[in-house]
Amino acid sequence: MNQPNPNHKPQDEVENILRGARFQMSEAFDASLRQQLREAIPAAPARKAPSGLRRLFIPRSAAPEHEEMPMNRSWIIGAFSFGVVVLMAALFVGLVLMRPSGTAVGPTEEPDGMELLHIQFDQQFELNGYEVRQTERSFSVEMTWRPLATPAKDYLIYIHAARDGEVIAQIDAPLVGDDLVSSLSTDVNLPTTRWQPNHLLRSWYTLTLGADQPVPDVVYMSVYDPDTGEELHLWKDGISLSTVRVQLWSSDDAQAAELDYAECGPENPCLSPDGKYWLHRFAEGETVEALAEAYQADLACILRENDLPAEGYQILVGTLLKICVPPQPQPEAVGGENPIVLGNGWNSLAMSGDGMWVAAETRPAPGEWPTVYLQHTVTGEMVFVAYGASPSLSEDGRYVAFIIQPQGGDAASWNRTGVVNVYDRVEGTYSEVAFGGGGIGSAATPVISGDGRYVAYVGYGSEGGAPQVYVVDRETAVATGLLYPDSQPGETYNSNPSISADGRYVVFASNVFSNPGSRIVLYDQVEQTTWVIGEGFFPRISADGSTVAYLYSGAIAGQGEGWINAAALDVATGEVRWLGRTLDAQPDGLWTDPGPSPSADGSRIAFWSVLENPRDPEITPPTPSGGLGSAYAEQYLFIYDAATGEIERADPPEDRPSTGGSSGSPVLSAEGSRVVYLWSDRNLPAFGLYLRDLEADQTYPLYISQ
Amino acid sequence: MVHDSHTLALFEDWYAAEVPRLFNYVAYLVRDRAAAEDLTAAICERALVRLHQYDAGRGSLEAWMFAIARNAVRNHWRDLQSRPAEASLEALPEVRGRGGSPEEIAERAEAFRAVVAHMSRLSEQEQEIVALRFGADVSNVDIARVLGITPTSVGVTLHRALKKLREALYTEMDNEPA
Repeated sequence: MNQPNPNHKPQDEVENILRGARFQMSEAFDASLRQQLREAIPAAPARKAPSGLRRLFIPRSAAPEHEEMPMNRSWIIGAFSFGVVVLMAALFVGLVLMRPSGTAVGPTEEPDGMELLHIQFDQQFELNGYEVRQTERSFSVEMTWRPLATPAKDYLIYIHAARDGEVIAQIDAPLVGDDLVSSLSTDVNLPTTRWQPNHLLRSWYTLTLGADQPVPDVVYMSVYDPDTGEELHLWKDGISLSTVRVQLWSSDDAQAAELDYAECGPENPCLSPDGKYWLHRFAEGETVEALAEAYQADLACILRENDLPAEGYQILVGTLLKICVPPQPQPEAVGGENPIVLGNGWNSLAMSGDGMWVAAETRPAPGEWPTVYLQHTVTGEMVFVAYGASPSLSEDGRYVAFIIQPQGGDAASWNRTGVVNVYDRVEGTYSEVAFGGGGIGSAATPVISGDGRYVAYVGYGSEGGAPQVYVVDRETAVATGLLYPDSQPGETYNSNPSISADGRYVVFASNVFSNPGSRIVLYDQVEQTTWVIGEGFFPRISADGSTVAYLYSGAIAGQGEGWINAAALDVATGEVRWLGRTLDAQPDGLWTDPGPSPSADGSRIAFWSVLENPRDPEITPPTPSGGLGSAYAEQYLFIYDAATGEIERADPPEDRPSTGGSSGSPVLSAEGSRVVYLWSDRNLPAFGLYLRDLEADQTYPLYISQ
Repeated sequence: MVHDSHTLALFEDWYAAEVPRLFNYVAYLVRDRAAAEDLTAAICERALVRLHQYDAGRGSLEAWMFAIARNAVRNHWRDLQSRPAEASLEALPEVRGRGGSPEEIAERAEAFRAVVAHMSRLSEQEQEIVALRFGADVSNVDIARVLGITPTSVGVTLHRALKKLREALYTEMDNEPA
C-alpha cells in the first residue's frame, strides 16, 4: 500500500518529461558501431562458449528497434581492432570467471601468499587465468596467456605433480598456444617467438599419472629458458615474487572442496557462509526442478542465482548450486490477517540511520491491537511487521526490534510489555530475543544497535518488582543486567535504554528509590563500567557513542524553577551543552514523548519544546493547571546545530491547517539531514507522520490519518 | 575455426541492452551529438579492455561501467576546459519521445529537449546524477557507488537538480513572447 506524496508535484513534472523521451544514437552511428564489432568477432574454436560470457552479457529489457541502414559514416577506432579487443577481453574474462565447482580448481594463493592470476613471466608474457580439470588419473590444465611483447625465445613449460616433495609425474614441453585473435587456421600451437603482443592465446596440457602412482599433493608449473634451464622470474603488479612456480592444484583444496557441503541435502540444508543461500552439491541424476521441490524453494530464483537459463542448461556433477532459502512464515497473529491499518495515533517512532526507513507503532482504533510497520521514506513502500509495539531500527533499516503482541490477552489493556522480537526485513524472518537470564518475565522498549547485533530493553521480573535494563548479544544470547552504580536489583527503577551503533554503550534513566530523582547512567560493554553522567531522563546516545542527548531536570541559573531542558553531554569530556527549554513541568507517568534525538556524531540534535523560542530568557514558567502536566497546548520541533550553537524550527508541515498543532517524537537520521516526527492538529483528531528533509528544505507527509 | 553463433548472440544481447543507455547517459552530459558518439565508442573500448579488472564482489557491473563512463566524460570536460554551456538544440543528439501517437511522441521529444538544454545550470554532481538516473536508469544505490556518496545524498541532490530544472523551464516559458 503506497501513499502518494502530495508535496512532490513540482518535481514530478520534470521527472515525467525526462522519462518521456531519451537520446538516441543515429542509425548510421549505431549501424557502424555494431557492424564494426560484429566483423571483429573472430571465428572461435569448436568448443562451447565460456559460460563467463553469460555473466558479462546480461540481457536487459529489449532496446528499441533500429532500422538497418547502409553505413554512410566510416568510423576508425584505433590501431587495434576495437571489436577484437572487445571480444578477446570478453572471452578471456569468460575463462577467468568460469569455475565449475566439484572439479578441482586452482587455489587462489600459493602458500607464500602469491595470487595466481595476472602473473607476469620476466615481463614478457602474462598468465591471465587457468583451469584444472582432474580425473582419476590425469590433470588437464587450460591456460590463457597475454604476451606483453614478442618473447625472445621459444620457452619451455614444465608441469609437475609432486607428493611429499617428490615429483611423481611431469610434463616438459614447448610452451605453445592457439592465437585467439588471429583468424588464420594455422595460428595454432604457436611457440612463444610467434606470440604477438596483446594477442591472447590459449594452451592445453594434460598430465597423466601412472596406474601405480599415488594422488599428488600439489601440481605446479613454471616456464624456463631452453638454453640455461632457468625458470623465468615472476612478477605481480610490479612486484617481484619470491617464487618461480605457479601452484595450480593441491590435494588439500580438492579435499576441502569435496568435503564441503557433500553431506548437505533437503533434509539437512547447509547455509552458505554469507547466510544468503543453501548450498547443494549437484549429484548425478538430479534435476534442478526436483531440487526446488525437495527444498521447497523457488525454481526461478535458483535458476537466476546460478545464472542458468530457463531451459537447455547443463550442470556439471559436483557443481555447488545456490538454493534460495524460502521466506519463513510469519508468526500467527490474532485475527490471522496482517493488514496495515493506520489509525489515529502513534506511540513509537524509529528511523534507520540512513533515513530511508521509518518504523512506527500505530493503533488502528481504541481497543485494537497496535501494529508495527515499516515505511520507505522515498518510495512510500509499506511493510507490515507484526501486531506489536515499540519498534527500533538498525542503521540500515534491515532489523526491527519490537515487542510482539502476546497470544491472548486484552488489546485495550495491553501495556506493551512482552517478548522482544527482531524482524529481518531482507529475509522476512522473525527471531525471538531470549531473555538470557533467570527471572525475567517480560520486556519493554527494546532498542537495537546499528549493526543489529545487540538489543537493550527494560526487563520486568517474573515475580514483579522494579524494572531493570538488560543488553543482549543476539549472537551469543548472553544478557547482561545493568544497574545504577553500587546498587542492587530492586533498589532502582530503570527505563528508556538507548544503545550506540556498535552496541558498546548503553544509556538509560535510573531512579534510586532512596535518593529520588532521575539520573542518566552510561554502561560501557568494553570497559564493563557503569557511571552516572547527569540528572535527567529519556536519554538517547548518538550512534558513535560520543554524545548523549537527554532531558535535563536540574536547575539552570536564571531560568526559574520547573523547566525541563534539552541537553547534550559529551561523553569523553563530560561537557554539557544546553539546547533549550522543552517543558514547563515534570513529565507525568503517562508521558510518552521521548527525548532529543542526536545525529550519528552528535553534531545535530532534534528536540521538541512547548515554547516557540526555547531560548527566550524572558519567559517564566506559568503555573500549571491541575497539578502535573504542561500548561502549554502545543509543541514545536527544533534542530540544534553544534557547529553554530544555534537552533532552528523544523516544523510545522506546510500542508497542515493554520490553527496550529503539536510536533513530537522526533528522530534524526545519522547524517542529521532528515528528521521524522509526529504532528497532531490542534482541536482536530487528525495525526500525521512527516519527514523533513533539512537539506532540501522540504517536508513530506508519510501518512496522514483522516 | 568456425564462428560461434552463441557467443555472437550473447554479444548482440549485451550491445542492444547496454550501449543505447550508455549513449543516453553521455548525451545528457555533453549535449553534442558528435562528442557523444566519440565518447560512447571510447567508453565501450575502455570498459571491455579492462573487463578483467572488474571485481563482482565490489559492486555491480553497471556501477563499474558507468564509473568508467563518468571518468571519460570528466576527461572530456577537462579537455574542453569547461563544461558545455547551454546547449544548442541543433547540436543535441536525436531525441525520441515515448508514447503512442506521433503527436505525443513529438511533444515529449520537444519538452525533453527544452529541459535538457538547461542542464548547464546544474552543478557537475547534479548533472551526473540526473544523467545516471534518467539517462542510464541507474538505481540510487549504484549512483551512490559510482559517485562515492551516500544514497541519501543522491536523493537530496536529485531533488535539488529537478527543482532547478523546473525553475529554469518555467522562467523560460514566462519570458517567451506572447
